[in-house]
Amino acid sequence: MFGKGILKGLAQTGKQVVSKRLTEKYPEEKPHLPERWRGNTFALEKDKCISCGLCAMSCPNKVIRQKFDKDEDGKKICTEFVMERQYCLFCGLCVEACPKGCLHLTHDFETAVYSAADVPQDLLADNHLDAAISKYGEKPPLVKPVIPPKPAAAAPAAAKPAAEDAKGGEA
Amino acid sequence: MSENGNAYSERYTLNLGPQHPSTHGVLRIVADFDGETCISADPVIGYLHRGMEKLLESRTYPQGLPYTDRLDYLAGVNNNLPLALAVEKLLGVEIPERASLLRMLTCEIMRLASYMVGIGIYIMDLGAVSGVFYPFQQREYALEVMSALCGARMTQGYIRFGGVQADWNDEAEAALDVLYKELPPFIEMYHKLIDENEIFLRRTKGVGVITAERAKSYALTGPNLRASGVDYDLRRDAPYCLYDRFTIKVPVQQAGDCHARYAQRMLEVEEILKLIKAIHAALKETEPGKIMGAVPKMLRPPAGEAYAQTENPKGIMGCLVASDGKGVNPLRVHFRRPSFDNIAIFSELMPGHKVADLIAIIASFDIVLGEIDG
Repeated sequence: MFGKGILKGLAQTGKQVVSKRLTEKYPEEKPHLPERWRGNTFALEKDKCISCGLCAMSCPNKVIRQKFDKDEDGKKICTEFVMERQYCLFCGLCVEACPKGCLHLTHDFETAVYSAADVPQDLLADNHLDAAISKYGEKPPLVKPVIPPKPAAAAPAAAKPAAEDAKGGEA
Repeated sequence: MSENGNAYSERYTLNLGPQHPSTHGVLRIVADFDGETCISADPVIGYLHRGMEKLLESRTYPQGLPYTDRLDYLAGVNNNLPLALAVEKLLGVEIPERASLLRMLTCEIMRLASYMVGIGIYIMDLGAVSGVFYPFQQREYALEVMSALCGARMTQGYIRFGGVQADWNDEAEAALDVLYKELPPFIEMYHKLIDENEIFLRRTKGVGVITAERAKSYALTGPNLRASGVDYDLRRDAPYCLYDRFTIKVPVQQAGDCHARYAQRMLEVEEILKLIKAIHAALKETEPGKIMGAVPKMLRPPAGEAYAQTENPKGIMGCLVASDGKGVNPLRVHFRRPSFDNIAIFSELMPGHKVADLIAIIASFDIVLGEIDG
């Protein structure tokens, strides 16, 4: 019978009508985001940053604009740290490059703004740490290598003061 | 009297695309028609050209990796792999077992996601708009796994030179369990929905027939080649990563028409699910943590050329990397993009078909314009 296949397909569609609804009611219900989810803003722990500039070097698109200066102790400090997010790929290479783990991606995704001037993110003015921080690029905790105690370690330690005593004796 | 013997028809040129929903992006086909019948067809490409190869040459090796996701944007990880394999060939590094398994697992998950889009959009292009939503739901489950694993749904950039970016975690495990649960009932349901549909069968059976000989001579690859009866799959015939450890059953269709290309993808989906389960089981047996090989922070591969190819959802993706041995940038990068080679047959395949059949042919090839234009 012509149309049998169409009716069979229609029966499947009918089953779907009464099945559980899968649509998330955004924006009333916020989507569930995994821990490592990469959002569209960055957060910086300023006091942990060592101004090495590795994040800017690792960026494929030159998104990170940094300026460095020296403070009164001669220590290198960062005077400008701007994420020009309009060029960003959100690849996360900068977050992975950070040796101190102080640059993070966040879970923010509602980042629409009225003006193009609001898109770059000045991380020194607002470090954005109040946003939900993504665990992307988080390095696993380093396992401390277990060093077996050296049996010979005691002997030189004991021998050293003895030698000093001998020196003292000579003087 | 016109060429097809129809006295009332007139020869004209029709521009199909580049702004047309059923050209899968910005493919433009300039076709000559006599009435409803196509006389000649010529694909015009380049509307999405971003100079991907040149972009990679102007950046360091690791910086270039996220760009490859944008080639075949329906399966991001699969595009990272040939570049990573080629550079690793130059560097001569060894990849840890767990990293290799994770690469394969993510590639298979994204292959599944890509097939889901391929099937869904195909059905939608033929007029069954509701047919697109069911595969897209399954694709969403696959993308959930990726987003739990590496934080991004589509442009993941998950593979690194020497290994992968992140280790398997509990969230990804839970997301994969959902996929295991949801996919088999979907496959069964979709077969019932589409397979016997008379409209679908009449529009696809006997349309756009490619013989095995023509398929081979036009260098078709992937499911489009296997739908023409050529039993060739790189994962089985020239294994990379650790594919040689697994038994891969490659389904083959003989008809070579548009319907065979749909049936081929549906059969392959089942095999992909089996393969994902096998790789997942093997992954559980490896020790967590070892996901990166011994790779220097600053990559300067020795002078030379390396070529690596992988079986992507659309066909065989190849990547040639040449290094001069001094700079941190590659000297030359070239991609063999499967969709680009697949559409070469359009000018031969389309003449003789009706306007609506052209849409069926384009849709059955499952092309991605990001890959074609590069």
